[in-house]
Amino acid sequence: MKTRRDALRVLTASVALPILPVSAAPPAAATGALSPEELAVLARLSDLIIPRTDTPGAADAGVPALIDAAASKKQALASELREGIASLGGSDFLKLAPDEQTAALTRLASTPGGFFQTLKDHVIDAYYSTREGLVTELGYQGSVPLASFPGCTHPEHQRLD
Amino acid sequence: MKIQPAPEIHDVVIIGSGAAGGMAAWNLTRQGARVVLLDAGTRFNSARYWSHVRPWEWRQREARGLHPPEFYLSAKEQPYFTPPNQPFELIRVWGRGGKTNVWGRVSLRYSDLNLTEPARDGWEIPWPIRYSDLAPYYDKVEQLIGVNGGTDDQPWLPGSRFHQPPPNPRCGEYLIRRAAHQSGVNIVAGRRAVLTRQLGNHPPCHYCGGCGRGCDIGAFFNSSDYLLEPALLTNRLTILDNAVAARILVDDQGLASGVQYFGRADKQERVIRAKRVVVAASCVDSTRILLNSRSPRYPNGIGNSSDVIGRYLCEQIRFHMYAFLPELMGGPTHNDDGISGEHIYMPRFDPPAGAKKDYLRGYGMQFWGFGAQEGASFSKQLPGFGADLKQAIKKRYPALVALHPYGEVLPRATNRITVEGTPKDAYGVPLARIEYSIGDNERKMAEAMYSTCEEILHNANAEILPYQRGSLDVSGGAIHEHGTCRMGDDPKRSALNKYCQSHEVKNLFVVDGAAFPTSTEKNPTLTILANAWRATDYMAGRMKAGDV
Ligand SMILES: Cc1cc2nc3c(=O)[nH]c(=O)nc-3n(C[C@H](O)[C@H](O)[C@H](O)COP(=O)(O)OP(=O)(O)OC[C@H]3O[C@@H](n4cnc5c(N)ncnc54)[C@H](O)[C@@H]3O)c2cc1C
Ligand code: SF4
Repeated sequence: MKTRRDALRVLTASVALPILPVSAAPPAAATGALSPEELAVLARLSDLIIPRTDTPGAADAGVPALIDAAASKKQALASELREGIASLGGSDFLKLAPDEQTAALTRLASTPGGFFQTLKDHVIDAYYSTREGLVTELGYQGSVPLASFPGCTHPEHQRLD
Repeated sequence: MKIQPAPEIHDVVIIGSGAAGGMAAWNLTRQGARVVLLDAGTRFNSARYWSHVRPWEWRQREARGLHPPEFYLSAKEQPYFTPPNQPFELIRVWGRGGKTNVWGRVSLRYSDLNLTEPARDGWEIPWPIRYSDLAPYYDKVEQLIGVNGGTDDQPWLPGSRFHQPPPNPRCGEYLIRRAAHQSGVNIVAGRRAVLTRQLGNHPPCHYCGGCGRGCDIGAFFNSSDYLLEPALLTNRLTILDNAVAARILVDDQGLASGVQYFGRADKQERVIRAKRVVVAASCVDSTRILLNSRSPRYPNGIGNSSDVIGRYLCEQIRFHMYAFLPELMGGPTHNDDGISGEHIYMPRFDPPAGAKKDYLRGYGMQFWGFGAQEGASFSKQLPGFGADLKQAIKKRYPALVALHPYGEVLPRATNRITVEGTPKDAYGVPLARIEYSIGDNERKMAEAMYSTCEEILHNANAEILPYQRGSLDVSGGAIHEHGTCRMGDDPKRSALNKYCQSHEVKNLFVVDGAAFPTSTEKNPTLTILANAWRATDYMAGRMKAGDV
């Protein structure tokens, strides 16, 4: 038999810490990866995914800048965003009527995975890591010292049968 | 010629300061031994922990150029190798306290059923100890480190009268308990090493939920604050930080005579001499050190004539299922942080007598991540976009439940750590190769685990997030490695006796999870602590008697 080199693979242990959304890692001040035009489209797309309602939307919460900062640290993400934005017509996307924009995004969403999912994943991670998304929208109250932990106070939840 | 002073010969040198090494250092120094401890890192500064930093503040801090403490050892600094298509995720913390700085704190006693199971089903060697050997040490460990939990005794999960009161369960935890109860599955108060009451100078938990980032007030057990600091007060402990142990040295009689180590910063080789060596660098690192300790006397690694060291690596299979409970959907958001992670536990569940069970051993279940979390990454799996999606997320946010079953993996000789022919680290010491795969037994068990999770969630009328039946975490993800230097009564089939003393090298002890013959379905740290205490009690006794 031929001498075969033991194909060894270095494993980079990636510790999946549930604490930190992916997009929360890069500093917001980093120089972005996207052009102003692309960023404008990204802002619109972010708002189509998480719009302003009675609470702030994705753009209000600064999501586009957070995604841009993430892209500036991750080449693959930057390319995917650029290509995805181009595939929607680049700046021309902004000239579409809102319902046309929604229709375009619905078409995009019908392909599983791909650009739509990337976009959605990043908008969600970013939005729900901001004060607007986590506190104003979802009502998160954690990460504060308490004297006691009340837990469930509802007898109807505590029944065994 | 300069005359070298004779090197000091210490009573004991310990390698590693996590649960196992911390306990060994604490117990031996308190019994009068002079101990030098080698640790591959330094002390983490709890005053600098980011325990309470929320995600947006995290970003602001990083923008200011600040960084959270880095607990985890980078595989770039210390790589390890796996065969193609056989990934293993090895998670290590180098530094005082080791992984106990960030551990999940689930602290379960093994039951006699766990320890006697190999003898019942005939798979590999039995444990050389019984519950009665461990029980008094469990009692003592729980009082020393502070474990909250139930007093209830379950067949597979002993209770304890030394538990501190458990924290109040969250809404979802009660509801899941009821849903499980409908199928005869018992869910009990969790047992976790988080203080719900003051313990000595350690303050109780203030329910901030930040444990994964390290606890800045030390309200959960970590070896550094709870064991090393008191041991240092005896003035009999010397800790050498950034001292990466490479090999155990032997003398002409074949006894351990010290440790060769390298400065992590200066990469200089040094030697420390001692009359006894205790290995406690965590399962994989301990095994690597033992296998690298080759000499004409021990060509296969110190104490390894039996060729069992490195073999029988066993961990746990695990997966995660997420769902939303109808009773909580659309309801108010509560602060669900509690002691961070679950307040309940599902002790090992076996099919009722007479029902089909087509696998050996079994599984238990954890439940971290109920209710309001510090993010909403579950939303990526909800369909659509726009105002409807935003509404759907908000509705589900307080209603999230998460099931995390852990199943025992059988020990197999072919699941092993080796160091032959591997590349070397920066100090020229061969790195570890990990060959590990699960078998049919685990795949069948995984089916049962999925069925149980589905049944509980169906009982709860829960909306289950999409999942792929049968899929499992990458091996190693449970972070409970065992078996590669196991204890046993038969020196041909085990490396250590029941006191974690090498069968061949009587002044060598290995006191971490490597010594466990099986992985069980449980988290091991409480048992590592109890067992290391027991082993070092024996060792101290032999030292006093003058035999080691
Ligand atoms: C995120 C996470 C969650 C966990 N949750 C739980 C849980 O809920 N319950 C539970 O029971 N367990 C849990 N564990 C596992 C638990 O942390 C370990 O079982 C426990 O820490 C093992 O103790 P140890 O002493 O064997 O190893 P460690 O705690 O890893 O300590 C190893 C020590 O050895 C040192 N060392 C390593 N190599 C060398 C060398 N070459 N030279 C010198 N020193 C060396 C390290 O610096 C360290 O001090 C969890 C672990 C993690 C990471
Ligand atoms: S929840 Fe309790 S134990 Fe965890 S970090 Fe906060 S105070 Fe410490």
